[in-house]
Amino acid sequence: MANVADAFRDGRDVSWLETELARQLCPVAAPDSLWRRIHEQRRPLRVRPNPWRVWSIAAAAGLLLLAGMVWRLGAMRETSNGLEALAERELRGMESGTGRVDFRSGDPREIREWVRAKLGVDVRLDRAASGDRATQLVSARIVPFGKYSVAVIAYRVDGDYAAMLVSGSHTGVVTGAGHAGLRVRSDGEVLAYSWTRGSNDYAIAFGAASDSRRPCLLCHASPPALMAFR
Amino acid sequence: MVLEESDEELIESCRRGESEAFRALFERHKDKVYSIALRYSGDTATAEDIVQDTFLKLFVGLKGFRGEASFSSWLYRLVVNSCLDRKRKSRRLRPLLDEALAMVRSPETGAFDEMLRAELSGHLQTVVASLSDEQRVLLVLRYTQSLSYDEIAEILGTSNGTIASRLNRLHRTLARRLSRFRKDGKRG
Repeated sequence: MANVADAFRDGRDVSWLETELARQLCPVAAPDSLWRRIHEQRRPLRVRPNPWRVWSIAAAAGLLLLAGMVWRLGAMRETSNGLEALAERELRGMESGTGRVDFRSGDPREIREWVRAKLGVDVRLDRAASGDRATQLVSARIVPFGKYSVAVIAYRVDGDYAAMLVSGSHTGVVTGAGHAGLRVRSDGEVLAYSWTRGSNDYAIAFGAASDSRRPCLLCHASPPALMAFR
Repeated sequence: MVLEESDEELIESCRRGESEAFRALFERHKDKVYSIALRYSGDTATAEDIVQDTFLKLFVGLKGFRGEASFSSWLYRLVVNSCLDRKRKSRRLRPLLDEALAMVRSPETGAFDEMLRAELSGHLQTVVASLSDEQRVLLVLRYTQSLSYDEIAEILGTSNGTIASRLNRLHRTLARRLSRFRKDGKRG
């Protein structure tokens, strides 16, 4: 047998070395306290969501949102069309003297209170209330409009009839103080505006021959710049 | 129940948030990880830090583990990286167990060889502790875990031939240094 010292000196025989390394580096058992140490540091594993599922949910939500917007726009358009047409009919009824009257008053406060009591809608008639002689309130009545009811306020501007319709928002849209979704249409004889303000839908109809901004004086001290078209 | 499941099944359970599955994975592999950590660092406190670090990395990494490599290889890689990341507080290997200090007794060996082996054995831990981090990792994988060259190569991301060559060179280095101890001892 080769001498161990010689074997190590020239590096020929490493079998004893391997045996000794295996002995000195042998496996050992982990202390029991390790789990507690790791467990205290660990946080619950977040379950990884399936990316396809996330995307499909996001896409479905997007489509629903889009469909809702389209439906709402359609509903707003339908409501506006309907209100404008109704305002035109009411105006023609006033002009022909065939229109029904539920409440006759020239007092803006009385009209406001009556509409509020009948419909639960608060309509501010600021300019008329200021005693402006250009606009004169005539009457008010409630007419059905689909599943809802609409207040029709008859008034005169420089002697010409005008009809303002107001109802709670049919589409559920609530806007700010401006005239949201303002639309205008004319058949050559009657000019009609419609818009949403706050939680109410509005429409005004009046003779196309008159100044397009004059009917706005029912509520505005001066016609809004927005109305200065036509 | 979870103790009977395969590593892959336990990993899936861990991903579903089942804490018992993680405990089972830990129980199954803790000795292996601790042994490598202790034999590498030579210090129980450092070894426990390494084990903790390894299992926390394992826990976080389970979400991304795709099974391209075997779970064992991945775990070995984690513990090796944790070892190499840790600054060595001590180059001294853990004092050997009494029985490990005992010589390899063989009836064929003579009294001189037996005495010499005892002396070399005592010096071995000092020599191993003086090796570089990478060399000690190699020794630990080979002699603590008895891994094959192929397995070590996969863990360290190199070839079988490179591992064989490094180990061969390492053996010669160890033998040479032990021989120097022997010579110094004779001079002393």
